[in-house]
Amino acid sequence: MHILLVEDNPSDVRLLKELMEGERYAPTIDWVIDGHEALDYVLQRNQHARASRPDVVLLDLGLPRISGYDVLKELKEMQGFSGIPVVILTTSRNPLDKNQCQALGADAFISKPRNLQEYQYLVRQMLREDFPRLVRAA
Amino acid sequence: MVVSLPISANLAAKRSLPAHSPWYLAAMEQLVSVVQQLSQAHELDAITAIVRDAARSLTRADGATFVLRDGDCCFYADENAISPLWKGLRFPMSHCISGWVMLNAKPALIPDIYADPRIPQDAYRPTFVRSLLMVPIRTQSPIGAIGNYWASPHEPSEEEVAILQALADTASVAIENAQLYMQLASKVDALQESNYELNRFAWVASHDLQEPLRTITTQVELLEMRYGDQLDERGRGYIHTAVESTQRLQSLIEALLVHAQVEKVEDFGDVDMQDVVDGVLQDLHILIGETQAELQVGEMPLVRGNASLLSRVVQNLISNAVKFQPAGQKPCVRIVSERRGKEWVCSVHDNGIGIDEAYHQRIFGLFQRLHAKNHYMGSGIGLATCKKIIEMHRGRIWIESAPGEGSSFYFTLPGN
Repeated sequence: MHILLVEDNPSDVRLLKELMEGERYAPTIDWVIDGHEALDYVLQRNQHARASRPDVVLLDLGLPRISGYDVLKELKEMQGFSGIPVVILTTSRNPLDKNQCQALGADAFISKPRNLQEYQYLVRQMLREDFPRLVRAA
Repeated sequence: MVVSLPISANLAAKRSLPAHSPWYLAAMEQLVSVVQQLSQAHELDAITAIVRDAARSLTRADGATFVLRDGDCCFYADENAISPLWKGLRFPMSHCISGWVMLNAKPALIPDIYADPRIPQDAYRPTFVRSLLMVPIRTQSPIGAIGNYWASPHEPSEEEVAILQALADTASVAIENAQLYMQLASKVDALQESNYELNRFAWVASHDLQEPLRTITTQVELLEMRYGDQLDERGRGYIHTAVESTQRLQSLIEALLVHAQVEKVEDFGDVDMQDVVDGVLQDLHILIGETQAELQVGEMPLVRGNASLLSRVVQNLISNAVKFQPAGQKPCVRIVSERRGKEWVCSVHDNGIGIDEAYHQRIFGLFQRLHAKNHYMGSGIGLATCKKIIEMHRGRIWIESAPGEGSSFYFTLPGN
């Protein structure tokens, strides 16, 4: 499985990767640090010219340059891309943010883990082969 | 706001009812309705319009002006006349009859304007005016004047002066009220603005504080998980304390976020408090199980409000009731309601440690904690949030309690 992770906090990325280390079904994670990069990636522009199509996008909301909301909106309006599940992964626990993301077409809204236990749970979910479908069901 | 019939009008009415002309009585009647209109006008423009029209119709003059003092000038703010006078113009106080009226704080009665040295004839020649009557607005340091004008020679009567002065006195009260009202409105605006800013600040701050905090928490936990067995007991103790502190900080930030977000909710409807309490008990089942708390729930009312906000209140009060207990005591918590007039009083009673009367007000303030952290966990935000929510519902919240005798928290809500 192939995940595009849009996240500007390197320690989150490092931790996710570390927790997946040595797992048999660990997905490939391509990491970009902001909204611009994310759009370049899916449009296979610039240094992402040879990027492959992700099975799922994990998207932070509080991103520099282009906010996660705008990235989500663009992705969902993009020809041939709207079918790829987008999971919002954010510090926010605010139902208003969740509603707004759902209105823009997010497939799932996950509040970022606050401790190791919650991280391990998230990683276990991501390690499942059916993660993209799991996301859709949620 | 109080607008009363000016004393001079009252006196005039009482003093002279039998002796006055039918015109005067009709004018007094009309003045009463003008007073009523003025009492409802909160803006200077509205007051100006009412006074301008009343000034002409009360005395049946051919024209009326409403003049305001503007520094060293008389400003002809508005007029109602058979043909144009000086609306929008400014004249020096020293060269204008309205200036004379204001400076001397007394009326000017001028049957023939061309025979009076106080009149700047050049300004009057293009107009219809032959006679005039002018009274000051406010007798102590006047803020303006009201003028009456006649096209044919007219001797202003005592009754006309009395009526016009009564109108001016009423207008002065209305103008002062309007000024107070505008000051108040701008203060309310400023307050709302700063309140909004403050909430926005709390939200952004706590949101941004959470990012690094999550990282600290997980990194320290990772350290414990991966390297815990290479440390001695003391080393593991350090890690344990660090983890505990980050958890406390996390719940503090979350409570602050909740407090800041309360502002945003506008969705009010009918709420069954029974459902609210049931939902909260469901959410708290771990805490209730751990403490073996005994809960009694009486009949709960239907109220008007926001269910998720009211859940926060009930959850805060019940978890406080369960948490603030002497060591080893089984918590007993009773949740009941009672109708009082148009509102409902809901209450949560416990057998806990109780609170000294000295703190009954303070506990509802932000960041007020009465206990050391290692004794009873609390953010010092929960009750402030309860108060904020209940006040949004136009209710009140208070406590009755004494140390060692448990606590009773009460809050009122409007019936649906």
